[in-house]
Amino acid sequence: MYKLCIEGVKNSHELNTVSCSEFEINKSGHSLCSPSYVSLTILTMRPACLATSLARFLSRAQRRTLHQTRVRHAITNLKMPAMSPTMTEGGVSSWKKREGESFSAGDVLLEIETDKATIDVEAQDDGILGKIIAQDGSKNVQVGKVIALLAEEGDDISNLEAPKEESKPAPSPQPEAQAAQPPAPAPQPTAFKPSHHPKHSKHLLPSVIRLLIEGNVVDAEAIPGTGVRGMLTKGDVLAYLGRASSPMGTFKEAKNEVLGPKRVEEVKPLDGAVIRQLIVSGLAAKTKLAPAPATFDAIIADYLPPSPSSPKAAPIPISSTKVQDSSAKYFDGLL
Amino acid sequence: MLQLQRAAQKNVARRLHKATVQLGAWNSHRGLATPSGPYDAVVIGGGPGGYVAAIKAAQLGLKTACIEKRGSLGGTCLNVGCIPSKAMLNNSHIYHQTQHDLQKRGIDVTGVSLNLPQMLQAKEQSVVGLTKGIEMLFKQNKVDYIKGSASFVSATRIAVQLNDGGSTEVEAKNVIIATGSEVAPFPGGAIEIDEKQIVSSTGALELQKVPEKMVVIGGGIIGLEMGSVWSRLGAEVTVVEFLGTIGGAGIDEEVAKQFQKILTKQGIKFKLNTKVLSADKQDGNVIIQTESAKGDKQEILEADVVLVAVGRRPYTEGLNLEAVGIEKDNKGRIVIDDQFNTSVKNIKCIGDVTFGPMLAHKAEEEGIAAVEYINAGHGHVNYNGIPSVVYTHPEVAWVGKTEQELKAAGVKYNIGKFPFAANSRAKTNQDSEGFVKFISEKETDRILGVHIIGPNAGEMVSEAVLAMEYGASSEDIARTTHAHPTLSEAFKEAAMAAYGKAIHF
Repeated sequence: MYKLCIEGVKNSHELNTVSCSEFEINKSGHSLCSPSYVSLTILTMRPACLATSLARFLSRAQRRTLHQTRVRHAITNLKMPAMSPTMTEGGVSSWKKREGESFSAGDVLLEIETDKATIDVEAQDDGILGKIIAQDGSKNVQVGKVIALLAEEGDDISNLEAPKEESKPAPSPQPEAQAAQPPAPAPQPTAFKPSHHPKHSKHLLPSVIRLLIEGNVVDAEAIPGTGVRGMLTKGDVLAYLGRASSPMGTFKEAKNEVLGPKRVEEVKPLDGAVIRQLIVSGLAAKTKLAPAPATFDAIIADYLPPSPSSPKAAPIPISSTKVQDSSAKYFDGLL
Repeated sequence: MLQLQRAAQKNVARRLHKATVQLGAWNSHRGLATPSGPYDAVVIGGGPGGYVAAIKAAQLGLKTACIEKRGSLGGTCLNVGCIPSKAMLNNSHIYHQTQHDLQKRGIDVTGVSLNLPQMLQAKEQSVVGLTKGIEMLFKQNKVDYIKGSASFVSATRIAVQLNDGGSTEVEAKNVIIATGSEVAPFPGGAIEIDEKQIVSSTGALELQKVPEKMVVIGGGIIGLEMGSVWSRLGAEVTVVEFLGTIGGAGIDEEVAKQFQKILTKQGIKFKLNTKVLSADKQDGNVIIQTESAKGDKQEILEADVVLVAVGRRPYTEGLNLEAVGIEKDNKGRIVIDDQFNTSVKNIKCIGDVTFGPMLAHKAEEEGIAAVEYINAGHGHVNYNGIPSVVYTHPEVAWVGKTEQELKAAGVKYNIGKFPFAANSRAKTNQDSEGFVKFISEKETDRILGVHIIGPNAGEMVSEAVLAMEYGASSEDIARTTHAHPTLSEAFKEAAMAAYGKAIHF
């Protein structure tokens, strides 16, 4: 078949339809414009004719490439865009272009109605509005649903069809209501609604999605994430649902256990103001030591080992308990 | 036409990019008082830690130099370690397979013979190609490559004894020590390495003749890899290991046992719980005296070549660390904090010469993090996510905790295991020894460790590292599509087994 195509390339000036049809049979029109096709054809050619026709063929192939790409591959789906991070569905207010009308980048294609405002949607590229799927006035179209098919200049758009899976009308409340109508279906083991798809500002792991659906978690953002940059881990959701003791369960992560000694905090030299402050507060504490007139008991108490009942002297910020302990021991044998 | 246009656009973009890069470089130089002003960063050592740190530093706009005395970049890893050993492992595997494995696959070959000089040359070629490649990278990134031995004069001044003779001194605002490690001698000095008959890993890559009998002292990663090479090429290899398991530190016991079984089947003999007392050369042979670890049984082994692979030790010779007061611990490792700072303020240290596993990829990560600390004040290495790989056949690879570690720490866990014998691709490849073992926390299903023994384990373990980096559960792996038929499906199925049930086993 490759051979046939080459013949077509060589002999015909109007080769486009010939080779195209040949190829659509064989390769469903896919790789016509790909380099692999070009190299394949070169490989199948006889060496004698290779040199002479290579350049010619390549230039033609390129021309052909341009011509062929029009057919069907340029069709792109225009999906309902998310105009804000929280938008999940919207309505088509009105189309500003008609089917078959061409537009260039920046032209307003349609107006979209969200719960907050009506927003213009601009075209990102030049093209033709091939087919409108969500007509004017469509409501509650899920974000990501195909609302129109866009083609490129020169494409054959006479028999465009909406993609099968995505062509279903936006889920309107009606079918759901009908589904709910039938008299009490047998109780389902898990009562999650297929329409409930968890949303989160961060990427959700597959296990997390399952747990959010099963656990009927409405506000996933409320769960604190311990993963990379705050991502939710399975443990986070399990802990939130009370099915795990903590996001890490029974595992305690040791920090950098490979490294040896802990980083020693650098002792910063004190500046004048701080030293003054410390001296003043130290002196102030000293003066507060004996608020009441000294009694013999109060004086001797300082020299006695501390007993749980005896009130301790006002804490002096610099002396540590360790020092008191050792001084207590020092007096142990004497008193 | 369209393609042509695109190509042209790309070209223009590339040229533009180049121009801006050059402009940037020029601008950064303008800021210096003199062109020969102090370096922002000087890296001592051009191994995988050092050269990566140097390139990263230069990429971040620091004026950088790298001092290396070997004469070629890449350090132990590229010159006499990971890279040449992988060349020998790969080629010896092909030789062994051609001899013993091709027939059952329907390929009859005759007259297969070993051309050892050619095999060694092939190894040498890959080494030279790669080390020259790093030199190119240095040029591209404008890292000054100083060939010589560094020695501290002060914390900011380094004297270099140049390899070509003469000496120079460089000023450095920041220094990164990345001098790596050297082969550790046999404890007690009872065995002297001559690199001909009693060899280290370096000499084991240079043997000019396949030994008839080879004794490997040390059943760690290096010993098993080099033992495998010479065993495949025809040597009768005996591995003597003081501990009760092979595979070195951090290997899961179950994996180690299976590993030993497979290697034994390949013809390597093991003497575990056995201590080597001495190795003496006698009449062209080496006589090795061994004793059981308990001390109750003695045995004498004979070999033409002995490989001493009992570990490596930090290398700081000639650095004159005392002059600047850099602290070392009792094992000779340079002491650092969690930001790679040594006891001297502007000097950092990474890789084998400091704490942690002596692995090239660990040094690389540290090199990048250390440079980021210098440049931006923060960097990060996740020490829980550093994989280990043994490149034997089958390969052994692991990351994270072993079952034994978790048991000791009182962590509750689930195990998921899947054998390659139940994996379609391994079966079709007729290479189905080994298994994948997942260990996940019991309550949360979080992956704590993955241990793989089997074909391509070294590549497969990266998926486990990535999963652990992102705090994934085994369910997350199990719910991720893995192409069929691939070995990686065994990985997925082991994850399925950890939180539920595998499909194919």
